[in-house]
Amino acid sequence: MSSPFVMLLLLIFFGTTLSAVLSAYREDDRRAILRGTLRRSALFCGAVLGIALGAYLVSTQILLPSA
Amino acid sequence: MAEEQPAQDRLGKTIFLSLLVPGLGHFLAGRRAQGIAWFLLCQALLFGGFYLAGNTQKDFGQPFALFGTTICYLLAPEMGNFLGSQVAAALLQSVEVGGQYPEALPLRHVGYAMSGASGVLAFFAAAHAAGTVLAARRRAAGQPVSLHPGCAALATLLLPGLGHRLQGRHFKAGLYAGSILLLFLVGMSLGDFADFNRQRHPYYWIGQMCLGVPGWIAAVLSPLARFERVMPYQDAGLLFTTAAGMFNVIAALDAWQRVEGDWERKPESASESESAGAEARA
Repeated sequence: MSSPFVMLLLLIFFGTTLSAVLSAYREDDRRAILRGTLRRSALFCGAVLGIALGAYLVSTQILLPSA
Repeated sequence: MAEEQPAQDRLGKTIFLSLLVPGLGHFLAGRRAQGIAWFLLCQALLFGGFYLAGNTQKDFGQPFALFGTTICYLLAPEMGNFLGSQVAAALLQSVEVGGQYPEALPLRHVGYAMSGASGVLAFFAAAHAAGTVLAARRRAAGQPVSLHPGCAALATLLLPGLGHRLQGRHFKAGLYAGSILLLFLVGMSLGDFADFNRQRHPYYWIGQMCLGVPGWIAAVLSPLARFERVMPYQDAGLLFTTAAGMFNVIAALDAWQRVEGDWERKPESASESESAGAEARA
């Protein structure tokens, strides 16, 4: 079965790769690319985790409170 | 400004004709040998692929009709080689129509990889033709051309990051190559190296094929592997491998636009231009 820890690792890995490619596309300077990668990966992972948390709360508190 | 408009029209025409028939744009640009080579390569891959797969590529596409009239046959990524794919779709019949299973064709996955590669290559042929036109225009203005944007984009198809390496952008080359290939490798491992299969995931397969040569090799080899166990992160693996293909398209676009950017930045003399390029790459 899938584990939340592995899923978190996969999210961070995918977020970092996505951010690296996007930053490399947007910038041409090494420092700017590295800074952009960090900022964008944190933003991406934060947004996904935020949406996941929101979905979890809606599911457990509103849709299926007794489950 | 008045001179720029015909030049832009010519560029647009080159791209349009190349997308219609790979190699036609090169012809228009006066590169006849290259045009013939592109045409033969793309059509040989397309029709060779159809032959090896018993024309079962047609089972993954569908006709597009307007007011009851069939306009074209939608088949990705073969549609990149537009006219070739339409001729193949009109003339050839899938062996499945005759009651034969595709599983009876041992080389069908090689055929899928070939015809898919033909479509992706045809898109890059258009980019290469456009780069040829831009380079010719630049040479006519007496400015040096060491690498044109189309070559840089095409090199990315050979290996992610190669287009940037040819420009001297070593950091970006390493970053693109490392991140895209690692993403692809991790994705493949999550699917037990068996999840690059057109018959199982025809839509993901389109994205996976955009990875270029490493992806095409995987497309041939992967169907030989079998699932030995339940894969808990198989969906993530599919997402990763498909995203890797899409990221490679971004890398190719970047390779193209960086060369153009260097050209715009570069001053008149060759020595000055070298130093301007080095500054951008630092």
